[in-house]
Amino acid sequence: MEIAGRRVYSISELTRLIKQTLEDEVGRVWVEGEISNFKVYSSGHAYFSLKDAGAQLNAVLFAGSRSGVAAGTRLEDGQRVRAYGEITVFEGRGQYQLIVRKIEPLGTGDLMQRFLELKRKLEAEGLFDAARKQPLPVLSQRIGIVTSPTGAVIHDMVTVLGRRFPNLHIRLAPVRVQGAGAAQEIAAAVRLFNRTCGPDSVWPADLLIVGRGGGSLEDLWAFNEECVARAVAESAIPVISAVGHDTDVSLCDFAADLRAPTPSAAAEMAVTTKQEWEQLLAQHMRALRQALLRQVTALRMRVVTARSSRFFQQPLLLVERRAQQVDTLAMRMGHAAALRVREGRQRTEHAHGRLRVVREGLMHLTRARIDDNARRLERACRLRLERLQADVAGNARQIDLLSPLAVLDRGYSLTRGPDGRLVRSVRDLASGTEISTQLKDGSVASIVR
Amino acid sequence: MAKNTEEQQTLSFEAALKRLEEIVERMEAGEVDLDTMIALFEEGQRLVKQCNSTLNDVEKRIEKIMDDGKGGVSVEPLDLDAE
Repeated sequence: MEIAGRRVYSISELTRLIKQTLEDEVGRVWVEGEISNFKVYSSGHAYFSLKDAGAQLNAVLFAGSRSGVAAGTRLEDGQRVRAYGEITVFEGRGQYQLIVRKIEPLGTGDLMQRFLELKRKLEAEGLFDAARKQPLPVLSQRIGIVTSPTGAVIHDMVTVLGRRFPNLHIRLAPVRVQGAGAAQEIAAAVRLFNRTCGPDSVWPADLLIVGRGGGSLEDLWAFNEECVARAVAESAIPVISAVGHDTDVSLCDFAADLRAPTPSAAAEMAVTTKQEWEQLLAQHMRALRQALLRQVTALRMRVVTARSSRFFQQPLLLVERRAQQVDTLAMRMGHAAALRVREGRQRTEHAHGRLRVVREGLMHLTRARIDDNARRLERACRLRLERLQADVAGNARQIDLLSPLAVLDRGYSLTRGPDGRLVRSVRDLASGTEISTQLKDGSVASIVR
Repeated sequence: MAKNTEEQQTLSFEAALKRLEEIVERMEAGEVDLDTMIALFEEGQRLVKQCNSTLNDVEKRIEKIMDDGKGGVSVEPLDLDAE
């Protein structure tokens, strides 16, 4: 068809042209790739994709071609195969595809191989160590999300987050989540958050969620790239990884602080609902009030108990009891004192008694000695006296013998001068001296001539 | 006292919550005298208030951030329905 000098194709014409070109130019080929999205319809035809890291090819294995499946070929996702068939175009959908005639195994899928190798390597480096995991903050209010800005995933996450905590502040770093360059974008976004939303920034992110929705291993591959795993592991902001569905496991999951089975689950895990917080705080407040009330009540009870005690009701009781106590004490004290006094007196008397005995004994002894001495003295005195008397008697006789008066008896006389002195010599006398001569029976006065 | 209040202002939500739990525990154990009890109660009350206000601290907002190529970041509101 020619319109105004332009060659205009109908869709069918163009599709037929493409089909013709493809079938002529490519025709029958051998290809190597990894099976994914493998599905067998009730018709018995099997539909799947053959993929490598960069591209994918739709393939169909008709039920009639089953004989072309080599022995040992596992027709399932992740299997690496070599397939032979013709490239054709499925006009109804405008898709080109490989009609598989022969298929044989190539061992484990290439991507799976790379995944395992990389996992081993990073594991050995300690990138996935439990010790590296950061705890999620108790309260997350500023949340950074790294995912595609389009599609259901971000929508679902924002919905779930908003439902749980209405006044969250969410920042999205929009990235491509599959295809060439996606991994680099994801890693850069994680680093962007860490560079600009750290603890000291004006917008300190509490938490990052990195993820995407479900897909094949190839679709999720960006999250298995080393750069993503490293960026996530190095993130100072805690990261929840949410890649694909529950059954999908990515290196990003291993590197993250927490793995969520799905992006919506990540949103659930990211924040405790505001309502729960408010309930918890209200509960604490209630506990505080109750504890204080309990304490005050307990104290008041003690006051009431004390006030209602018998002693406060009948204060005399207290005095009486005290008085009684005093009396009892006094009595006991009296008893004790009396006992002591009696005891003392007994001991004194006893001592006294003993002392008296001793003294009497002593006096007796003394008196005996005195009496004895007296007797001896008396005897000595008497003897002496008798001797003296004897002496005196003897002396008296002598005196009698010697007395001049006795001589006078025998005819002697005594002549005395005027002065009464005895005249012993004639020289003592002068003429005219009056003398007195004593004779035995009187004196005669004479004058010397 | 004023210093104490200032310190509490700088407590993070988590720290405030932890302190609050400590206070509740101590008060429930009941082994403190009345004066301490009242002081604890007042502190607890302040902490509850602080935590509650932290919960309302942040304004609901959804933004898109991108590297501005100069080491910084450009932030603009994100309308998900328009994307």
